[in-house]
Amino acid sequence: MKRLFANLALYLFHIGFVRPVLRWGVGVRYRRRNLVPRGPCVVVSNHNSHLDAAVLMSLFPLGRLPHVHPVAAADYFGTNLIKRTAAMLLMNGIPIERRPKGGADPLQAIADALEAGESLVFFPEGSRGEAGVVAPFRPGIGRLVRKMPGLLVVPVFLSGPERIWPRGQVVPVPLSIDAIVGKPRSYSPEADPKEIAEQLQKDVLSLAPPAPPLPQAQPDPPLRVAICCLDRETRKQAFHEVCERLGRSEHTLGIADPVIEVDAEGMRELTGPIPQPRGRPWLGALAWIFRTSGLFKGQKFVEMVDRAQIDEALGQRPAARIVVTDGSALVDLLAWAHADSYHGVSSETEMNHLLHFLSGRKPIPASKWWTFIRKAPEVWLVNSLDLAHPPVPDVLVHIRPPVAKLMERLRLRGEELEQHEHDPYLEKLQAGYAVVGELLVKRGKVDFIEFDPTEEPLERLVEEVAEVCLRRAAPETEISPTATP
Amino acid sequence: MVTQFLERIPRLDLVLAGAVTIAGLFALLTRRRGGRFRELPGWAGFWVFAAVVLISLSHAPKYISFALLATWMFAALRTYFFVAPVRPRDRYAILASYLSIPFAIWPAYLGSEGLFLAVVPVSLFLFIPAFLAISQPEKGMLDSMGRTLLGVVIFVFCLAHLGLLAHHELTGVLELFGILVLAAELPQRLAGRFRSGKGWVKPTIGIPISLVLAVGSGWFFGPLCGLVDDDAARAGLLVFVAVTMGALVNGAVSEDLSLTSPSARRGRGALLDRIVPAAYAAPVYFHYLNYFAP
Repeated sequence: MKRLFANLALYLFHIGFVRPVLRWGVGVRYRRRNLVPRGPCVVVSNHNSHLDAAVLMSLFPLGRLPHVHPVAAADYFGTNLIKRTAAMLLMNGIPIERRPKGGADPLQAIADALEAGESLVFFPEGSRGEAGVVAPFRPGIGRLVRKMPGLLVVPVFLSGPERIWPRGQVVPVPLSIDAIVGKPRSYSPEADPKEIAEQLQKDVLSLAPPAPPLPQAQPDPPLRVAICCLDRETRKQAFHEVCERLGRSEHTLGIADPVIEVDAEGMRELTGPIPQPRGRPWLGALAWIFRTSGLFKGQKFVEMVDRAQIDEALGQRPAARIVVTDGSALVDLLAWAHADSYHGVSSETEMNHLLHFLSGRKPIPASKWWTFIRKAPEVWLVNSLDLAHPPVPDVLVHIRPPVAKLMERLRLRGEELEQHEHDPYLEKLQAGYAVVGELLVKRGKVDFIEFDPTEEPLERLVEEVAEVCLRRAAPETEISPTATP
Repeated sequence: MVTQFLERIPRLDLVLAGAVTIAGLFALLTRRRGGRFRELPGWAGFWVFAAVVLISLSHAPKYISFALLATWMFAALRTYFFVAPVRPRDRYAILASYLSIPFAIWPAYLGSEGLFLAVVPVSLFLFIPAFLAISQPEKGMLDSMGRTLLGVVIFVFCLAHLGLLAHHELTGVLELFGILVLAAELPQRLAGRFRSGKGWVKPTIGIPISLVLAVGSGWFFGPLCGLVDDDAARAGLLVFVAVTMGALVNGAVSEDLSLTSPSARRGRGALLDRIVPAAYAAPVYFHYLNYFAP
């Protein structure tokens, strides 16, 4: 008779209060609820709120409610009649002593329930802890798993209860909850309880969705370093040496073909989540139709767009503290426009306009399309077709070998010289890089380093770049106004 | 018998139900194409509910329809605060935002536009920032305030205008609103909407079609609720502008909240995508009907 009344109270509480509140007040969304087994199991999840047990119990169909027991801490829920009634009667909890006396096994009551075919809701963290923080799982769950070989454990990740009713708050604030159910699994009874608990924590955390961004919680974008030089060999060498040097101090990504990752463990090709450059034929066709020339002829234009897109993607999803690029789409395009479209004579206003067009801040007015298509088709394609928003580098390095030496290297290449590869033009182009560097410095927050490799060894440049980058990449320390003399 | 039954149903209700059905069938047929077509069934499902709310506001007893509207506002606001979290210490500002729903619904229930304008903009928009300022105004308060107020503006202030529309002397203006929003939204959804910094090729197809459809729907269906065809066409034009603005704002907000992945756009983030353009259009439509097309 006592059991009958207990079940009646349980059903009334859940049908009349818990489930309507979860359905209409909170709006719980279950993902993969069908994975909860029909037989006895232990549902394990992160724990930040009193709501957690109710949400996990609602994973089970109503018919199984009397056979599902949240494991409740006796030292907390057994302290007064109200808590005891709520936890043991209305929530059907099983009390356990977190600090047992006299060598008693605190898990015995749970093991007995499982043997009797009941299911459990278990929080291996032990208590609610700090909101949004998953504390290490205690080895108790591991001991339980060892005790009951073949026991099915269902990992669940709860997102939302920690914001609705965290520890220390009296009034719950309705927000949504996501309950993400993982695949049930059993653990080897031979494994160490601590290892089982750690594995289980990994299983639970692997279900966590990416946290929504909080105000002011955006990570800093990476520091961007662009290495520009008209001599391909020198640029490649400087790029690799700078990456290697910076990688020793900070996690660094190098955008070239292929994208590389450098850290204390060394340099390696990146195969992770960052998209690799891929030449798209339609871009090449566009470059051919609109007759892009010089530095951006045909396939070179496609490569420039691909790299700019990767560079842009890295800014939105910071994957490293420093990003070094082999060239810079923005700087290269501006310098090229200065030399080619403006014949080496451009005003600051014109360059600023170009900068806005290339970075996607302003569309090119339709009235100027024809001018751009004729004189700077690269800029028009990037802007009007929205191909990329090449970012402004934080540190711009321009390696400026003497033009005579540059021509000598180009002749040694053994290929036919292109239309723009002659002394006066290369002079204009190099001057274009200097103009762009000065413009960016004037706009602020950009360090511009110009370097002549015939006057000083490359190591000197690498050290200078490293010094500037590491100073800028270091976290800013707030200076108290009272501390100033 | 079916004809007799259909004759008893107001024409605009039938048109709205038909429009939603067509949108739903189209969504079901095209969802396998992937991309943005996969989001269409969810959107069509949302419009089934929206049509029920609009029709009930038009015909059902007010205590039922306004309770439905308030529930809708609450559910929308709750999901918004889930995807756009504020600082943990600002949780009581969220509570204040929920409490603003009855304050907005009450004058709408009474049909008092004056009281609505006094209570909602003057009281709530000033009261909620003060609530936020009670907690220590540390870094991030302005962001939290922006997030909270945007939620209240869109999901309380804008949607409450649907309640005010329920008191309009012409019956059927709510159904016409649903038809106009659907007409303005569907082509933009299919062809691509205008989004800041996302190029212009796709919107150049979607926007003119939705403009023509919205204005045409207004001109064609407006007289069914007693509006002059020119006035109704202008209402269609304004709804089109508001829906486009709403989609633009929603795109920017989703971008900021990183809700741009396909899974986020079909999950909780989908709510913003579905409701914001319609919510944006409600005040514009209401004030146009009230002051310029009596």
